[in-house]
Amino acid sequence: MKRLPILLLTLLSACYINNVETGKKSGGQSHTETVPFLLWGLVGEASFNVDDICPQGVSSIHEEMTPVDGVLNCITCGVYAPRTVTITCSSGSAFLLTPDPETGLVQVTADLGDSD
Amino acid sequence: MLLALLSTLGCYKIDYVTDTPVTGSPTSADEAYWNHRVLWGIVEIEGPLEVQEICGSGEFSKVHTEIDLITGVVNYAASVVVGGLYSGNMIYVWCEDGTAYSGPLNGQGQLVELYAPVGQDVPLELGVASETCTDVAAPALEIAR
Repeated sequence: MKRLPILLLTLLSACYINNVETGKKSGGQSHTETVPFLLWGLVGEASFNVDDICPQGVSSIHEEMTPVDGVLNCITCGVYAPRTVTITCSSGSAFLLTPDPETGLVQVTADLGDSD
Repeated sequence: MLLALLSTLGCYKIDYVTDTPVTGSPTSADEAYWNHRVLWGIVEIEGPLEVQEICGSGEFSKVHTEIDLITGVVNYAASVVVGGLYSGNMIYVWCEDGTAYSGPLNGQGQLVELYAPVGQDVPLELGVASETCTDVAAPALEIAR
């Protein structure tokens, strides 16, 4: 019974969230991945190419230490300290149009399958 | 030298990049945002970081998150003094050059309308049209495949 507060504390501490939103409507697929950090996060880096994950654009990025991450962090005393990243794509199609500085014209490209 | 070495230390470094290359250190970012959290990181005091408020179009070139030296020291002090009730980390944002526009395609794969962010002009030549407006029909614009 005495362990219950410790367990609850562990579960509560499993959060450390970061939320980044772009203002685009969500509705696309989500990509979730666990990033394996070591030594209290000092060792390890992750890089996500969001254009590969969400060709139509990113709606939001969410980072957290999930309860599972927290338990792993706890039992290894921070030697293994994973974080979980969820990238949510926007719905529909979006295009980045940058006018040619000389002609002012724009070429629009779309992936096959976007023509709905 | 020691200061420079310490300034490179950081924990939990994650990058979110696009196909548009970004160079430069966090000091060159368009926004350096200190994300304050309470209750062991469960609650963000200022809510989510809204990229569109920084970049206008909402298009970023790179987002970088980390616990840097300063936030790490503050987090450690908070863990000692208030038992981890407070924590924080840095979020850096580099904006995308250009402006993002969106619009639906018709059955022939033509872009039929463009929607720009509120307050943003569309200084584009679209097919036969050459207009500056915030919502422009562009029936002559073919989508290149």
